[in-house]
Amino acid sequence: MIPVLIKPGLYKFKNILKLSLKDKRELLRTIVIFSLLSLLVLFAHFGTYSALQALASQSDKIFIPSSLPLSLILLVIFFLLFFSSSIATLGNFYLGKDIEFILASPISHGSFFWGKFVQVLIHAGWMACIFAVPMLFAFGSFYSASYEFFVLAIVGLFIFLCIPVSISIIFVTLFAAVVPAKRSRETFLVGILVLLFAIVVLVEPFAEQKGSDLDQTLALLRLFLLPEAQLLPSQWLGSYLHSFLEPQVGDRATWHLLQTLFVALSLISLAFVSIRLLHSYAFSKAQTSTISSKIVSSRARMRFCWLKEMAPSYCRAIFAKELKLFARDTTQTVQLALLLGLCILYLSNFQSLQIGRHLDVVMAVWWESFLVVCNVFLGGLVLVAVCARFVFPSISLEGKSFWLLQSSPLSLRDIMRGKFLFWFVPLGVISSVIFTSGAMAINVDFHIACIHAMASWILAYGIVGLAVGMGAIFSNFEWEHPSQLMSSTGSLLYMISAALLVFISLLPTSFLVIMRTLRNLGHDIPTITWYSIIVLCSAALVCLQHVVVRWAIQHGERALAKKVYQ
Amino acid sequence: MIELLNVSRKYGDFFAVKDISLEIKKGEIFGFLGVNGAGKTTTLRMVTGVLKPSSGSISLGGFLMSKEPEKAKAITGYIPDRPYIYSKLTAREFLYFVCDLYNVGYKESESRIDHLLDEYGLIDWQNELVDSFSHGMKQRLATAAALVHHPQILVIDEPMVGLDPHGARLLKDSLRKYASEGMTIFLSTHSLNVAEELSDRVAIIDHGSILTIGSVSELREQSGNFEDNLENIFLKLTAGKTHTERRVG
Repeated sequence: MIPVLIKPGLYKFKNILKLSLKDKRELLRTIVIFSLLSLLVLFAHFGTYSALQALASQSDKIFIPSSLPLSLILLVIFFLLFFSSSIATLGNFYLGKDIEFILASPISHGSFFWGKFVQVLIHAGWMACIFAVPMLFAFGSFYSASYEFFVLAIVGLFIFLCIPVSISIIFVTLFAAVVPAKRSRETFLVGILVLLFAIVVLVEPFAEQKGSDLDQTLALLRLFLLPEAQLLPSQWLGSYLHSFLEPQVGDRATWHLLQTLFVALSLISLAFVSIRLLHSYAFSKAQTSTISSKIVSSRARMRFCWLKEMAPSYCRAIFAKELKLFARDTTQTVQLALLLGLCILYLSNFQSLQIGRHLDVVMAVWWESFLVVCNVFLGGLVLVAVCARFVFPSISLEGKSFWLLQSSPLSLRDIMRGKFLFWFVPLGVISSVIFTSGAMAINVDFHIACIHAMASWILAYGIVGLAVGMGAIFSNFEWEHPSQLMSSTGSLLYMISAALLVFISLLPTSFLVIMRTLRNLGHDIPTITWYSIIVLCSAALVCLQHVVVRWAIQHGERALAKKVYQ
Repeated sequence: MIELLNVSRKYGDFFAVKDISLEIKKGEIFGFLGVNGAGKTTTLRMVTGVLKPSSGSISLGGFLMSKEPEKAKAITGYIPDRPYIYSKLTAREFLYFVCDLYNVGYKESESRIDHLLDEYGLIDWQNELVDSFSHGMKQRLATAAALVHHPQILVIDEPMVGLDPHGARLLKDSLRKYASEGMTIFLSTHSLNVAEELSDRVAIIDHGSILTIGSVSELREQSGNFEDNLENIFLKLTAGKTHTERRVG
């Protein structure tokens, strides 16, 4: 019953569990991780429940049927899952270390497909389930739904998750079969750029016409998110579950579940056919295309000589190596392109929230301040997402080549410092671009734009340092494919910790923004007090980040030493 | 040049290496012989600082690995039995990376890399990604990388694995040449021919403990049969002790 390719993963899980039961420290670590995950589940549940309560309290002003937030949540999960399962498909079907061994064995196409399909579903989907299941259950609790809802929510979610996974398998297989591996990065980047250009061209006229007041702005946001588009599986499942929650409002739409099931089965079949017909061709093509990969560049450029005066020799070594490996790794480039698209959509959406001109003067000033804080928070979260994809796995990505760094005259701290410096500079630049673009999108003055730029670098320091440290704490050099690192428990815990750091960092930032708003509204704040506030808030922000980075690097170094030396 | 004093390495209750003490002189080629799972790789990994001993001390060129690991590693080159090398770097880029790690000067490294690429037959492949290299080529590249910073000590785990006869001959000649220039070489192998051909002295390790140390002629003397080759001596000493490999560390 269990696909044969899944069995090694199950044995691995069982062995890890057994080992952690033997070792008290490992057991404690496992308990802490599970406790944190449980807290996250509870947070997702009660957070959704509170949000539904808040919405219900405003129902006399605006009525929102439960199908809308449900569809919205499912749509976000759908897109996230499509992105992450595309990466997981690339890893599990084409780049995994076990592929050659499996293909050489007399395994049937069906067993191969099912095994790999389940692997992709687990790798890409478990994190989505951690959030989605408690959220759906919160809907059930809030609307006092019958037990049927809870059972069918899980069944429906499982069927629903199969859809983006199947689409990504079809998409990646066609891509690998058609595009030579040597040209896959360039083709993908061009595709993404064309898509973004098309979005801008299609949406811009609409934004000009509609972006005139709050309702129309929200309508525009809905256009981006499309939660109610009739052709989306998220809408079908949302409507189906809605019929259990508010039977008096919605019809009992069993048809929607059947529609979801039918589409899921069709796509799974199509994915199977694409693997059956194209996998061996696409896999061979991917292998042969990489063999004659000659790279000629000037010797000076290869060694980053311009860094000679600025950084120690080992930093230059790590810089050059990281940059080359990053640029030559198709998976990383694909993820970078997807995140770039995410940033552009974020900025585009954020711009449409600039509705201050329709409010009275006092409200407009407070609205602008609110947007400023939101920009720091959301920009920080985008930075966390980027770090979770690239910085957090950077130590584990050394994989079995780590012996080289271990046997070189570098301490573990030097290695971590090199990684930190390599990522801090580009991510500082990226975050300052995101933060200041967000600030410019809402037309803030020069001073606030400067505060954004400063906050972006300080936050980048904390978030990147935390990623390097936690990446070392949860380092895993025995991966089959890098996508496993990004969908690991450690990665999830990093995202939660970093989001918490961004949230705490908002306290001094918000205080500074509030004081400035009061000053703009004519409150008497002496200049000396104002400058003292700026210095104190900046110092608090810097100290907070520094303490977090110090803690993360120290614990990371200790955990890494324990892992590699013992 | 290399000194191990009562070095042990435990995994839970299992001793992978038990109370090993040995001293290797400058310019000496020292062979470490043993069956699979005897503790050879674990010992070598401890010597290179990749693994920490559970007890005992290791000193390289007068630097204690526990106190001054960076200094000890700076004078050492290491070639593991399965050298995993960054597959998305070219051979030349990889050697640049190693030069920068060991702080080799820019001009010196250029000439050194050219020389080593030529010596190990990789000059025509210098701009190819390591991804496309055969196992033997990777082994030769790892050897070049271990030598690029002029180490005083060279530690090699199973030097002939994956090398064709030409590659093997090349490596043997190089090792002899480097030893004659004063480099200390500590190699582990289960190929008795290699040990007999190359080593000034050998140690036979079994179940984590050293059974005997000496030159091949001294070992013959110990075995009581002056006609014995190293294979016979080894088989006598480890008779009935072949066991399932347990790869640790």
